[in-house]
Amino acid sequence: MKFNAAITGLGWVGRRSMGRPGNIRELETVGGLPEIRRKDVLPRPYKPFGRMDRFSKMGFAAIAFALEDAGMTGDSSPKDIGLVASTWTGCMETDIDYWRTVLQNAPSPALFAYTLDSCFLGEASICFGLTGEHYVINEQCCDGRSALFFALESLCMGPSKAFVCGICNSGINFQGRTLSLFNALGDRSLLTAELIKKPCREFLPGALFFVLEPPGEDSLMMISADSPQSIYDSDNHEIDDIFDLVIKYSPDMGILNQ
Amino acid sequence: MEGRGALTHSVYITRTAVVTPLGEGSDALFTGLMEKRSGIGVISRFDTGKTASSFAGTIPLLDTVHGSPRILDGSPRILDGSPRILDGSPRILGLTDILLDQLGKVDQDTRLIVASTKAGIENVERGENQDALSKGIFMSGLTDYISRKLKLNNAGININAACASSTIAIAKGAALIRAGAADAVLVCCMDVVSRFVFTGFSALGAMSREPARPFDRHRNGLTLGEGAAAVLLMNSARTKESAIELPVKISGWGIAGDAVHLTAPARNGMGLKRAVGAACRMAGMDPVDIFAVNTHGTGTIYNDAMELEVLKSIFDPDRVVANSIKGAIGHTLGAAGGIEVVLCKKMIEKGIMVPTKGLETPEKSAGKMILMEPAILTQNRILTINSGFGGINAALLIEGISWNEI
Repeated sequence: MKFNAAITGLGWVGRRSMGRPGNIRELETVGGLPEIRRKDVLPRPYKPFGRMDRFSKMGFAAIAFALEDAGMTGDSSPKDIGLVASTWTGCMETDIDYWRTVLQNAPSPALFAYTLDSCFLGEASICFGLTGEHYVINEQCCDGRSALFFALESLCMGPSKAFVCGICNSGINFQGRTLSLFNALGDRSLLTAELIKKPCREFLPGALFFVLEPPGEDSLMMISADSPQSIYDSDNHEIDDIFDLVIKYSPDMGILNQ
Repeated sequence: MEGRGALTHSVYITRTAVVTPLGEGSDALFTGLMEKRSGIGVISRFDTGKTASSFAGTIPLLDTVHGSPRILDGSPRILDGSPRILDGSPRILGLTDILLDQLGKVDQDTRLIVASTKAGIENVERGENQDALSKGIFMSGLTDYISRKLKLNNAGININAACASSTIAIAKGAALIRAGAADAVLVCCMDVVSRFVFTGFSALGAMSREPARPFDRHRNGLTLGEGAAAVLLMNSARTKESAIELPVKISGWGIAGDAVHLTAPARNGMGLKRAVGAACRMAGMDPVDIFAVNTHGTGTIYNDAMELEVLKSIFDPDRVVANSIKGAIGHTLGAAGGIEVVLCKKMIEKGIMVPTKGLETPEKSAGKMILMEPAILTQNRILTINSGFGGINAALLIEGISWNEI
């Protein structure tokens, strides 16, 4: 069975930039994860943003930008939209932060509440009124294809009107390598074909999300899939990695054909 | 009759394995619950002096062997040619070994979906985060471990959705089969009682001082537990080809969010109602036609009140019976839904719903819905439901079938 959808939104947070096509903001990165302020993400006050851990803020912000790109951030009234994210690292940094409080004999309930990899999806669902399914996929090769497939399947077979899907990884330093493709998003000079081909675990830290909707007559970018290993773009080219779609979707970011 | 070209494929549970504080195997679980035995006791693996409770549902074997190299019970029950050894490795791997030994071999092309919330967290506790990749600190380390043990041709994924993880993992496995993207899917669900999680739930004020009492008027929180389950899903062709025991069918599933609160359920249960509604629609039936529900039933004030609201409002309160097993084995987090699916298969086979351990004085609004004693199943179908942090809810409808219905 083949599932089809249109890509109608893109948002990301990397070490150096965040935003959506046409609205890219520079970032200061402190430690492994970028520092994100509420006003960078939401136009209105939103108290829960301040208490989120940095992993959640990153994923939440990328989702917010993707929804904004798709024109879906109007209010928090219930909308049957689902969320799925692939991750390799999960909220590892938050786990370690919480564990330190245990060792200090003062376990922090505020930190513990964010030691589930899926918490940022819950936060996004609350803020934007997304009442569809939401869950995280942990996988070693976090190329985003499983998330894309399950989003497509649910969109075509289930009740959801749209799906937000993508990847979110924290910035744990592996063998001294933290340079990521996320660094390059918004900075065309850093993005090379060679970098794209490197294993996905080098795409750290960062979050990247697409909005998928049922195809319409005016849909510009389509994807289809019949299994997590067989995902195709509008030109019927097989997609190896979710970043292939960034390049296809957003030529106005200047990263096409590099 | 279904083939590769069928529009959608039916999904069957053809084999299961389960490990809980009540023992190994579904018979041990079923019998223990029928006899109202408790697998919950005072925890000894870490100091609970400063936590809200000292109780948990643990698997004694994981304490016995942890930290000292030995072959479990002297018998090299093996899958990969090497004896089963826990040489100070994380309990989650010991638990996995016990589970896979019980499960036995599966076809190489079986797709793997794992469901765990905090696999690898024991390594964080030991401060082994410097070389995270090699220490298997990430969830993907567990999927890789299982894949290698079973010699599968795929690395597998882990589904993480808090306490609804395994219910959603089974739903996603079923979705792969329904779509024709896989002929067989193995869902392995597991979590252990760790100091990390224990102190966290204690800090949140969610734990009961005494063993949990789901749906009781005097309930005041949950008790943590540990366990594992494996659920082998197949399409009809593979089922006919290789199923040994009579399978059950997953005839519907649904997943929905509350979008209300990060750590508390929606009081009106709207997300769970929508998840149940979706599962029932897929199966072509109405919730009022379902007479048996395995609830999440954690024993917290708000979860159980929310589930009672859902039971009263969308099922037939005069006909539906429901239970919870968390008063007997504790809340096994990411493994909970999987263990309960294995139990549902066993309850359908036996035609009996097990009672709710710990329930003495039912919540007023429960009426006669929540079982204090075993009950005869009046249908061969059970709906099982779970909810989790982030306001996520999931439902699976399991149905008994005969061989000629496949």
